[in-house]
Amino acid sequence: MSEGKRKLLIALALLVFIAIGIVQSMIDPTQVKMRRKEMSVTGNDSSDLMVQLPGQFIFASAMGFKEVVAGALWVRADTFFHMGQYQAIVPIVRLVTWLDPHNIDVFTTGAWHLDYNFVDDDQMSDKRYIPASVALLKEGIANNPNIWDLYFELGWTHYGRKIGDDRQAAYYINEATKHEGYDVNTGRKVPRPEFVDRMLAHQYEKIGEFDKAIDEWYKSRKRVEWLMKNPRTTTYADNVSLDICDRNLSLLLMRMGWRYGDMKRYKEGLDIAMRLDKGSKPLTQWQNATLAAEKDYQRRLASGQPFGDALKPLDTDFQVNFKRIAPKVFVISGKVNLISSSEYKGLASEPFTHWYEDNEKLSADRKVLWRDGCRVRWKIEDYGYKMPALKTFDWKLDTDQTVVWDDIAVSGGSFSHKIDLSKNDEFYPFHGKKYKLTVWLTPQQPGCPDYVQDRVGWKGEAFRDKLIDTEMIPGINCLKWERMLTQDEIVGKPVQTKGEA
Amino acid sequence: MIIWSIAKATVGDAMRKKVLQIFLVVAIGLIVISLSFSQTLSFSTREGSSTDIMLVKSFGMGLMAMAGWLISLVMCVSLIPQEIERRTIYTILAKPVKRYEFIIGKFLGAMLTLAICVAFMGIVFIGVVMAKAHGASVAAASSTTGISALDSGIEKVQLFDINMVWSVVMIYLQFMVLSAVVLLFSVFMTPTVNFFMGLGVYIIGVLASLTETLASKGSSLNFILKGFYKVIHMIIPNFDKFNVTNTLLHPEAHITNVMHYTGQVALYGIFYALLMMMLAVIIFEKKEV
Repeated sequence: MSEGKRKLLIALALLVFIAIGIVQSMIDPTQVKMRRKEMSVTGNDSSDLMVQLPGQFIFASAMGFKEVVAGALWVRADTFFHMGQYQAIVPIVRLVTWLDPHNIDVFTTGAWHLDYNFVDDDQMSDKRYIPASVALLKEGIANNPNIWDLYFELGWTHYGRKIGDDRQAAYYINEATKHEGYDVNTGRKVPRPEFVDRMLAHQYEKIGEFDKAIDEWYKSRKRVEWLMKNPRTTTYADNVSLDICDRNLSLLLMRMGWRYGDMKRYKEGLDIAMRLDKGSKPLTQWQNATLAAEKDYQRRLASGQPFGDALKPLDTDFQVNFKRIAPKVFVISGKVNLISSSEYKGLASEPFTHWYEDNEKLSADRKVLWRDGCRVRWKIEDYGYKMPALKTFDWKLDTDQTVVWDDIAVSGGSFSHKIDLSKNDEFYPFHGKKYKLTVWLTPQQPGCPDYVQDRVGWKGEAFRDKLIDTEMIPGINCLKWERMLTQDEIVGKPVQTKGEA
Repeated sequence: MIIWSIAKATVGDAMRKKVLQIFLVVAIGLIVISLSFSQTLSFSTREGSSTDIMLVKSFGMGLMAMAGWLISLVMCVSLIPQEIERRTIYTILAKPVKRYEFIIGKFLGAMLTLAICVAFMGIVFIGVVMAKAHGASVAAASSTTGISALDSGIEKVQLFDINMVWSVVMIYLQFMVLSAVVLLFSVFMTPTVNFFMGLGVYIIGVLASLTETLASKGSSLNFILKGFYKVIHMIIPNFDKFNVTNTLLHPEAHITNVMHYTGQVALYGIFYALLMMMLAVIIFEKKEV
């Protein structure tokens, strides 16, 4: 090639390079637009994200890079989280748990997203996702059966807090206490945290299994002692953990005396309480309360005046009103006699709490007539709806279903709340012909605080009401108001229905 | 005529390479296997089988891309050095063959080989997707007896999607550019060094959207680094422009003008390959063989 031709070729190459730059600058904006569309797709339809997974990722997974891909995807999920695109996270969760079924965080975080992040305009979560959340955790348990984490997650946050099935919660937390944990950094087996065992004791208390609860508190204490004696364990436990066990156990035992007249348990609880804060000067509030309780115990024992506040009947007079003020907009209101200040007069717990005495000392404008803190729950669901038990994790929703629940605070013996389901048709389609509205109150915590239970008992033994229901939660007296609603009553013209069981 | 003869000889040589045959067979085998993979993975949130079909498409495209860069690299790294090593280049250049004819002939031969490989994979890929779609349409029909698919909420399954052909063409264009780059390198690099150089260029090119973002106005980098990434973005071929897997899976969401986009990208690829060939010719003219 002659030098002239060579120079010409170089000049042509330069021209082509410039042409490349021009074409590239034309394509780049189109690509940016395409990427924007990708993002909107993931935000609109969660399934799309899954199938957008590049083939190279799948291939890499098949070639033994599963965990690497899973990790990369989980980082991507974090990006979506910060962008508020929660719907995009769920398919990633599905994929990551498939690629790396031992990544515990993904199961727990995924379940959390399903439980809490699909919310309507009033921040009420879409309850139809709960079965998927439970199924995801069960899948996690199946893949990781030898560690405590996911049993606990399923029991405490799902059955206990989300679904409100305390028996199932107790079952799964009990399963958690049969397993240890592992250190995520080293993979070494480590003891489960001591709070897991404590939570089981609380859970037994909630379902009225007092002997088991007491037994569990003793076991928890022993476990804390063992953890403290074994400093090599990375699981933290100290005197505070011991103190928590002792205080909870003594209060449980004393309450068995206060509420049901079990003097043996009461004495046992007092003995434990007397040991706490020993040597403190001046005496602590706990010690003063214990001494007062001890005196009261002796006085009652000598006089033959019985304990048993939960055995004294209390007319709760539960009433509910349902009023629809617009299509899919309702007001649920009512009253329940929980619990007036006068009920605390002479209550067995009074020497310990001094609540009535302190309230009486207040000036008229500060004195309260009711001790608030109870919450009634409400639920509107398709008539005959039963929460599905999914065999495998699948976040498909039956978009025809309607199920929603929440709670309302009781204040001054009454409650009222406006519920607006009209803003989110996807969440509340009301496609069925009939619906069931249930409004209920359970004596269990957190709907009924312990100071209210001191009067009505763990199982609502003091409740006297025509609306008592013992089947909703077997063994527990609940107050339940139920009504069938037609589709027209929900989406039609406003009507008012006065409460009747 | 000379160029065509060299190209034909190159195709014959390349297709006889066992390693190429193995890549091709394995890739085709895996594409076929992806039929059963999609049944194993149940990610669908929709009624119907569209998600499974999309998964087959995604997997097949991934495999073709994987096989594509392997074939391009393995085939092109040795195109020139092999002739020098075997001393066959002396015989060729002793005849009335211009050096640029030799380079262009070699490149054309490589392109034909690549076309054969991609066509094989593409045909199997499209066949597998159609088979999957056919299975899904049969299942949909049997589950909706008496009611229309629309009434039943099940999506109508499309057997043949023209975008699949488009995606195969885009894969071919992508590896045409890679082959041109590797062929340029093969003029002055040993095959081993060339393999890794080519792979490096490919990886950076696949991440072109990243370099673009880093070089963009919104980037938080200082102007020196921005400039560096801008140069990288302009010099290294942007292989991700040819990656249309996502667009293939969501044509309804992405494609506003397929022909326009394809035309631009094809032009980009052709210009790039042309530039590589020009540089290869310029360097090869001065090379002592």
